[in-house]
Amino acid sequence: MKTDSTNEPRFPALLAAVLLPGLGHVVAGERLRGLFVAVGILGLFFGGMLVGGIDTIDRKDNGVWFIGQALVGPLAFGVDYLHQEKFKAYDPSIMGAATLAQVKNARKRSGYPDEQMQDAEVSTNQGRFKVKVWGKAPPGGGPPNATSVGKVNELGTLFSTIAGMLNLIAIIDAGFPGRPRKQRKEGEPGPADKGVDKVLTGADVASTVGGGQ
Amino acid sequence: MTLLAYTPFIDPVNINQYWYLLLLPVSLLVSLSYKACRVESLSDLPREVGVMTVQIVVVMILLGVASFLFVEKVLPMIAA
Repeated sequence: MKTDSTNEPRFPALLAAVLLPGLGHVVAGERLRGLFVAVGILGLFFGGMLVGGIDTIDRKDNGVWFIGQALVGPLAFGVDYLHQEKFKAYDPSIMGAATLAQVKNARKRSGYPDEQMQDAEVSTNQGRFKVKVWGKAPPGGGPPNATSVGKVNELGTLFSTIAGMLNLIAIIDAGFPGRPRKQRKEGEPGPADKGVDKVLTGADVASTVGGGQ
Repeated sequence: MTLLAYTPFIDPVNINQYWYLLLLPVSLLVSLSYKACRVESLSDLPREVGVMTVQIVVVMILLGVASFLFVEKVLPMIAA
């Protein structure tokens, strides 16, 4: 079985693979393989967002699924940060918070179709804090995104979680070159052997040579 | 949600009626990323990806048929 000359972990490739899907293979010198890995994994990740919207990446409301999604790397954390900061706000009930702890423990949520994000100030016993809350939307207004529900949300979440799990395989593959790859069975012709019925193996050659003597 | 307000990657698409067609791209992309790591020679990749994609789709359809038969035929027989 063909393996690399060394079984030592390739730490630069490992780090690069964690940073961006496919980049580990590129750093390791396998550019085309890295490109295919990137197309597959990023296609699944962004395909999930295309189907289910940005709601499919949600560390706070969908924590268990985010464990898998996080394996895509910093990209997943970046999308989640964008989601939490730009597309979610506090329920108006936070305006009644009396302490800073109550503000910190309050959860942000996505907006309803008749709501719009607004700036507000919450007065607590430790000062006043600017927060974003949902308020009644004027005609023509609404939340920054449509909330994803039902099958499209489930499928979008599934797409991006599978992307993360596949990226774990790609990270291991890029960082640890000693692992076996699937290869053709001995004697089975491959695409490079067009028109060849059987590829001669070492045993075939030996028997031929032995039979000729 | 109005069509004009739709923003790709931010808003969900309305494909609730055709959700099962997503099996094809997900099978293809899973096969591509898995086989890209697995095959020794990238010249084998198209064939390997094709075979794995077909395997996933066929097995999922068979599992769907088996689930349908179990729920619609076997369970009523047990309950009767």
